[in-house]
Order: sequence, then C-alpha cells, then structure tokens
Amino acid sequence: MSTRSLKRLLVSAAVASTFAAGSAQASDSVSVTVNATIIGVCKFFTAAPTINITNTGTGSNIDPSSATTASGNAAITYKCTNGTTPIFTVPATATVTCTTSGTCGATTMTPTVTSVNTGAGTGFGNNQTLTVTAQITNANFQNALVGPYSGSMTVSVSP
Amino acid sequence: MSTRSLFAVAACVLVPPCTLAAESVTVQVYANVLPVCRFAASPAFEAPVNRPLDSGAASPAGAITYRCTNGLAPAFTITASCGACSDSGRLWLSDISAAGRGMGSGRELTLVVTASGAQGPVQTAAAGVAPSEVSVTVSP
Repeated sequence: MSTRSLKRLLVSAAVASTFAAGSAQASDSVSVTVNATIIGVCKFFTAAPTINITNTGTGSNIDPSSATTASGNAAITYKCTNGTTPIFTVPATATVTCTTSGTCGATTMTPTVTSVNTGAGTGFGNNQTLTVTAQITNANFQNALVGPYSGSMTVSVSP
Repeated sequence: MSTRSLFAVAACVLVPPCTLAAESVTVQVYANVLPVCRFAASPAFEAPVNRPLDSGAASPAGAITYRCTNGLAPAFTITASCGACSDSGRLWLSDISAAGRGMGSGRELTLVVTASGAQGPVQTAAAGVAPSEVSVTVSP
C-alpha cells in the first residue's frame, strides 16, 4: 500500500469514527420542578356597604316615641380561597354623630354591632355574605336630639 | 390587586408560611331621629283631656302632659266642638313654646288648657256629652 493510499484510509476512518461516536451518545435530561401555592386569602366585594338604622321601616328614620329597637343591616359580599375560613373583625359598637350643625351637632348615639357570615370560602367564583347588623335601643334614642346622624366603622377580614 | 398585595403574595410564596394583610371595608351607618310629639299615654293624661273643663272654677283649666323629640318645638291647635262652647277663642294654652326634652321618663312637658272665665261657654257644656269635649292637637 502506498503512502498516499494509507493516508486516505486513515482520514476515512477518522471521519467514520466521528459520525459513529456522535450517534451513539445517550440523551441528556433534567427534571424541572414546578411549584404553585394557592394561598389562603379573603377579599370583600361590596364597595360601599351602608346600614340604615330604623324602627319605622322607612329609610334611616327613628321614631323616638317608639319602644321598638331601631335596627339595620348591610350584606357585604366576600370571597375566600376554597377551604379558607375567614376571620372577621367587626367592632362591637359604632358611633353616629348628628350632622346638623347648630341644632344637634356633636351629639351622638352608639349603635351596638353584631355580625354573622356564611362561612368558609368556596373559591373566588362563589360569593359569601357577611351580614353586619347595627341596633340602637330605645334607651339610647328616646332622648336624642332631632336630626340626621351618621358615622362609619371599619370591618376587616383575614387572611 | 394592589402592588402591596402582590408583594405580600410574593413574600408568602418565597417564605411560607405567611400572613397577608387584612382586607378592610368601611361601612357607613345612618340614623335619623324624627321630630314627633306624643301626649303622655298614662291614664293620668286621659282624664283631663277627655273630661270637660271644671265649670265650677273661676278659670277652669286642664293639664295635659306630652313629650316631644329633644329640641323640637311643638305646634298646638285647640278646638272646642260643642253647641254651647263653639267659641274656641275663649280657650287658650299655656307653655306652648316649650321645646321637647325627649321621650324618656321624666321628660314630660305640661300643657295647660284654660278657659276664659266662669261665665265662659265651656262652663255650660253638658258633662259627659261628647260634643262638649275640647280637642287639643299637637304636631308633628
């Protein structure tokens, strides 16, 4: 075999070896860990809840000569993560102040506040209801100065 | 969801367990104390209103108690509807300018209905006959 023929043979072998080696390698892989955490969270979905306290059945009117306790409530929509139990913070009392300056301004009444709710969340596709009730007893309103009263209170939910 | 909430959620994911900030809503509360006046509902009130004024007195009078919403000035009207005493001008009310002091116990006000004199037509009204009644109305 001539030197020239030997070179050709060696080159051909090297090329073949290269292709053969590449096709024989094992495929590589890596495990990708995917995490997702559904957090327990509750949100209110009533923008401006209002309670009109009345013992006449009309608006927020209170007849001070009536022995009937004045009462009103607001239905506040909330949603929670499915299975999450909401924890509500509702004040025990609120304060309403007469808004007519010069006649009864600065006088106040103190409604008592209670609440009930429809329980744990069932996901953000389903509404739940927190009903907040405010009451003013006869003893509280019977000697109140005539006029309109208003106030506000903050209701919270967690998580 | 606010930026603050997004950060809170991110913190929860990175460092569980976590506590999200409480969600709050402001509840507006309204009440409107109405202006009302009521005659006292006690039996002591009924008698002087329904009986004829004492015709034996020189200036017969009957006292009526009432209550009004605190701060409210009441308005009274009086009528005497009987044949002999149709002239209600001979009757008048005292203490009509007193403002209400509330509806609670001990907050009563007294209204005195007075006839003009012993010879007034009220005196001649027949006792116990309905048309001889004097009617007093308070508003609101």
